[in-house]
Amino acid sequence: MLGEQALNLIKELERNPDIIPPYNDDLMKRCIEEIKSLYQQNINSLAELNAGRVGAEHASLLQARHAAIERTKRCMLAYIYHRQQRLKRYRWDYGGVLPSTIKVCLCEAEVRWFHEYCKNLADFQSGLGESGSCGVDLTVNMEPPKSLFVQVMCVKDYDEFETSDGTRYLLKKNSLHSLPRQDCEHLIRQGILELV
Amino acid sequence: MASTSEDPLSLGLDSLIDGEADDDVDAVTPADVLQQLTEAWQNEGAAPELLPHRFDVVDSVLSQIEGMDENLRMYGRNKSLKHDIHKMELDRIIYLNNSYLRRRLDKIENSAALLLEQDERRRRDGLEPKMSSNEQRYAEKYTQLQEDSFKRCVLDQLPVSLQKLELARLAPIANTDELVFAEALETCHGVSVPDPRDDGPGFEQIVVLEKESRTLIPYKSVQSFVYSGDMRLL
Amino acid sequence: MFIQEFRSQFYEIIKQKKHALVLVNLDVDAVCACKILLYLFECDHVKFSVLPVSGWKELRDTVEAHSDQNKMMVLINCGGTRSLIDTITPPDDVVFFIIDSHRPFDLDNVFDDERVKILAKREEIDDLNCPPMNEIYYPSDDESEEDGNSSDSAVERSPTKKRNRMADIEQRVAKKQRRARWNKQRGDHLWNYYENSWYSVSSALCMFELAHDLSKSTAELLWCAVVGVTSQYVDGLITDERYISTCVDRLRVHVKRFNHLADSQKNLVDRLRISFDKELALPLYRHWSLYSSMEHDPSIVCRLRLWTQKGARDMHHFLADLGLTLGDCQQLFSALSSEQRKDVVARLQTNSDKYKLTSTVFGSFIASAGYCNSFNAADFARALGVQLEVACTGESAESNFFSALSTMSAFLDTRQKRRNPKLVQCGIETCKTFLEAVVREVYVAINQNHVLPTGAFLLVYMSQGPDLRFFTGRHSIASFARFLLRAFVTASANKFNGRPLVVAVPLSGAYDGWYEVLGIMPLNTADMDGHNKSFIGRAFDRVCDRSSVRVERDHFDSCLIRLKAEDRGRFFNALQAVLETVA
Repeated sequence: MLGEQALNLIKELERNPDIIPPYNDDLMKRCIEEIKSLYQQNINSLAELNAGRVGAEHASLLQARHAAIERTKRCMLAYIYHRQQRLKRYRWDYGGVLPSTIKVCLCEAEVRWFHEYCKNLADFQSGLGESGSCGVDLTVNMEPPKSLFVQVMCVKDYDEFETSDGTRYLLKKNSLHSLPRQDCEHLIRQGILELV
Repeated sequence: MASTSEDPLSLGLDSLIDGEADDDVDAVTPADVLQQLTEAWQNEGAAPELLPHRFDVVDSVLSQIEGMDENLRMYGRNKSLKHDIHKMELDRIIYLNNSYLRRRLDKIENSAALLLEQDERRRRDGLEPKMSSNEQRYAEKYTQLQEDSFKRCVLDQLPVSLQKLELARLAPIANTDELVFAEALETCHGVSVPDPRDDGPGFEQIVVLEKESRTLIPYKSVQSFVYSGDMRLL
Repeated sequence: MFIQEFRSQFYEIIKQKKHALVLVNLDVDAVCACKILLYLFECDHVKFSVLPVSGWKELRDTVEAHSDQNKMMVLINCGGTRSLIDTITPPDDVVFFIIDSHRPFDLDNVFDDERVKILAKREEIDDLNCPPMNEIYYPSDDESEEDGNSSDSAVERSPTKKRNRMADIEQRVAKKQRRARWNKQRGDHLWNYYENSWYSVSSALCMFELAHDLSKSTAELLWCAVVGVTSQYVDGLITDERYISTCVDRLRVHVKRFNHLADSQKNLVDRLRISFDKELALPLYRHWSLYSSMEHDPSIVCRLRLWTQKGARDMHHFLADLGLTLGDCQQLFSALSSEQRKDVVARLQTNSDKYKLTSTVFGSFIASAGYCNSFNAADFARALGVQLEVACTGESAESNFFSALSTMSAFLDTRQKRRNPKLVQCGIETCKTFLEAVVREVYVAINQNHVLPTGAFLLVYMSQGPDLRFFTGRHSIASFARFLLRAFVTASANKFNGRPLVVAVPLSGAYDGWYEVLGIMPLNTADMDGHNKSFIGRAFDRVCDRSSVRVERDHFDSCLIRLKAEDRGRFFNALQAVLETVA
């Protein structure tokens, strides 16, 4: 059926709402082939129409094919767009370094997009402020602060950790600590610490 | 460095800032700046579209945050309760600031191309653009990144006539018919609302909103007042 | 050194430090004390780290790992009974604050003025009867003086040299005799001092009184203290009289205070209300049916000999005598109407004497908050105790500690105004399974004659089976031991009333081929000075000193040790010899 490949792309994304599934290069290529073949068919039909070899009712065929082309194109663009959104969320939650588990799921263009996006964000952040020199890290303080310290439990061994006021903590598995909220935000997001 | 207050740890935002900031010509107190930032943050959160930027507020808040941080560090070694309370206050201000910037960034990312076009139009009409120069650079770069990635993954492989893409058309348009809670800071004349008595578009009523009145009203009607600062969203 | 001013000599000092390190033992009292202390730290914005420790080895490793960063450590319910400095060898600049309910304190800890500070009030210090310092540590000044004299006299070249030499020899002989007398007296002191081990006031209660001193006490903290005290009572660590006197003298005034506040704000349903009332001593009866609860209560089981075949019928007769229908008893207690409940409780109370049931009723605390079920402190303590020790598959003892702590926190949490008793209820369900396992094991041991009366004591080996996973720690093994001793003494017509019981539980996993051995005192032990004193720990120590068995004395409670399986024969023979000399 027309446009089914494209629908599969969207379905794949929907089936895995939380993670970034591997880039389905194969399916994308098939969609492009489908578009190209439909387009070719359209050109041929148009030529035949103009030559008068076929009746005017074939015009609706043309329209149907064109609609299928547009739809497939839209699906493919949506696929890329949504993957980008998920990648963007990744940058905000975990920071600017992609682990290899995620990297293998991306195509080259997406990796490049991610780096450029991070760079863009970093430029924006450093450009804030009057003198332009005081940078702001927008990825911290995502929640309104309720207290200065938070109680966290360490779920993985981490070794020594120094906070902004100089206290050194030895983060071993199964230990409870009270840390200043800002310093442990990124550790919480990485899953090493857990809020109690 | 002159300090106007004698007890640096007395409660009150003023005491955290060095006195020199007050020597400016249009002396805006830190409390004022915080109030403006809060208002801008609230507005930005409630409005369905991007509002004109308040980067003047953001800039002054950022410089004050720096000053506060410095002061806290200097007096911070004794573990008094005041120090902790001041630190909490500082954290809250940083959160407000970051949240404001993040909300704007979110809206910009959603419809970057469209906003750039709108700003272009505003500049031609002689109005202030909604985005600051920093944000504009960000939006331009973002749009370009999107186009590049679309081209590389999809469009370049299609036949030439199918390669056209207008991002501005594809961006979601803010729903300005959305209802919002608004409070009038000044008496606003000439607020037009859809007339409930007659069906169909185009029938409008002109109402006057008294100062300090609160209404639930379509955003479209109060848009210009929000831009000018006569109304604020809740 | 003893610290009596908890606030100025302990809390204020800890507050000044940037970071406090708290090392906690794995028992309910310690969990409660820890919760109270953490609350105080949170109020004052003191940063802390909490690490649970299960034994001396782990304590040493943890101290070593952290002694660079933390120079002040707080030890809760651990570290008091052995010389800290010798056992752990910490760096010189580390200071320890000890809050420990184990007694007696090691004399090295008591007399170390700089590095070890023990928190204890005046009454407890007097109770301890520490021998004076100069009778334990030889005053070294005398010796050096005398040496100096003798060397001076050796240098002199006077004609009185010969006379001096005679005087020297006399002096030295006299000194030796003095030394020998002093050593003997020291030996006596040490023998008397270390002979028994017992538990004293709950650490949670100490912490609560500190909180009260700082004007930060709340109903929630009071509940922590109550659970800590009750856990000592439930485990049989303190006598009935001491429990009652603690409740009346120290806890009642606070309960009254908080209830008064609660009453004056009647519409705050969410407030935690603690009341002190007569409660049935049946375990978990509020969350179970009366019948099941009675089936698992030591006094009823022993009275009716429920391990025999006749036992079940006797139970029915007993209930009929009491005037309770079987239907009522087998229903969930909470499903009964309130009149039925009051009726049942009244009948049991009035008829307990007739059936010679000891302690059917005891005074206990009940917490109720909001619209959830109210909890008895004893049930709460049991639930926490089981949660600490019954290891869920794949989880370590430390994570059990934190799950117990979070159960407590979830129940008491007022920050988010959401009290969550679900975790406690899970704990109670686990406790039911645990009690069923205990009863099963007791029945098996009695019916299959697993208890071996070996002269001076009774010995029982627990058999391998699926129930073994419940018996990993002091609370669980001790519950089983006490139940079994009572049942066995009843079954053998009080013949073995005066023998202590030793339980050996085979271990698995990392300690495969070892036994966990726990000893408890005989049933007819009289209270000495109002404490449940036990000489088992000392007996174990003497056995280890005399014979070369492979034993790990790692636990903070000296009655619990780990023994290599191959050496068990020699160990128990030696134990027999030691206990015979005592008896």
